Amino acid sequence: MSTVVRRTFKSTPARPASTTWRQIVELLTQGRDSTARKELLAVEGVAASIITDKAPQHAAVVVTCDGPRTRIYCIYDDAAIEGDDANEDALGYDPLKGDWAVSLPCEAEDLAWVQNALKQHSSRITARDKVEASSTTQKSEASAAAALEIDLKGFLGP
Amino acid sequence: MTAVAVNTYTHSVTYVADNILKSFKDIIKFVGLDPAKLVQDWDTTMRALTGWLEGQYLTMVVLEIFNPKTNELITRWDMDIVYGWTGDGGFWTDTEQLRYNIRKAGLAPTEATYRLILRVNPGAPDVSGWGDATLRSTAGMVRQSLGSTVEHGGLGANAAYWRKA
Repeated sequence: MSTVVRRTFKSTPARPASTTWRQIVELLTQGRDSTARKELLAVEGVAASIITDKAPQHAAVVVTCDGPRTRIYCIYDDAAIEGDDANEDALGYDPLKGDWAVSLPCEAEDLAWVQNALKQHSSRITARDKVEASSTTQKSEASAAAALEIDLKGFLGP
Repeated sequence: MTAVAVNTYTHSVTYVADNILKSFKDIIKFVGLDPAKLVQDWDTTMRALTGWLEGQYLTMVVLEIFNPKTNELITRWDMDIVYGWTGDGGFWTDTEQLRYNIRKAGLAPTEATYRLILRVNPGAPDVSGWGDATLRSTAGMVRQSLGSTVEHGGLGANAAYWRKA
């Protein structure tokens, strides 16, 4: 079982999709001017296109590394303006520690050109079908929930 | 307690600008071309769209699909900007309308390429990365209007495309 942390960013129309991606890059790089930051900023246009398609509304941008896994979602329209469901707080760990990778959820019909465009800039940033990403996330969250279930009987018992 | 989202003109500008770009990305994909060139300049285009929408200078966004060897226009997609902002109403982006009409109009030849042009009223401030351009001739073509494609709060864009007469 791995630790999973969730963040939710306000997107269109609270801020443009490209600005949303730059905020996500800030979260992940924690202000460091690193190679990772350059790679993440190099795919800004592709990421903005995916964010505008609302792909990260229900399927996470999944960030893996040698530490905890980070799942990032976006909220849109009135929810983005209200911002009540947003959580853009800084992370208490380095989400790009060691061998990191970012998987972007994507519309199935966009997958071919998006994967091709990402490949020009990075081998660590990839895209997957958002439906696949969604079901993987659900399975993973279900298994994490199961792993964390409290045995009340044992806990409260004599 | 209940809360109501307060729409500002800036929210509408952001929504319309992002979704004009999304619509052109979808048009390029639906006609069988690679949107990579469009998204490569996403931030530069967004700066121009939002800046000129805020000042109400932007009148039209044009996507020319042309033959790079002959320079001849193959088809053209327009988004006419509608300034009727009231702040009321929901979020509207109609991708299916674009898909349906492209299915009728057919795919672009594989050798085709494209460019995006923004038309502005006189007095529009300069935006870095953007300069003067001349549209290719539409002689022998007719314009087909599709109606509202993107809209929020009365600020919107109506799509139209050009086809051989």
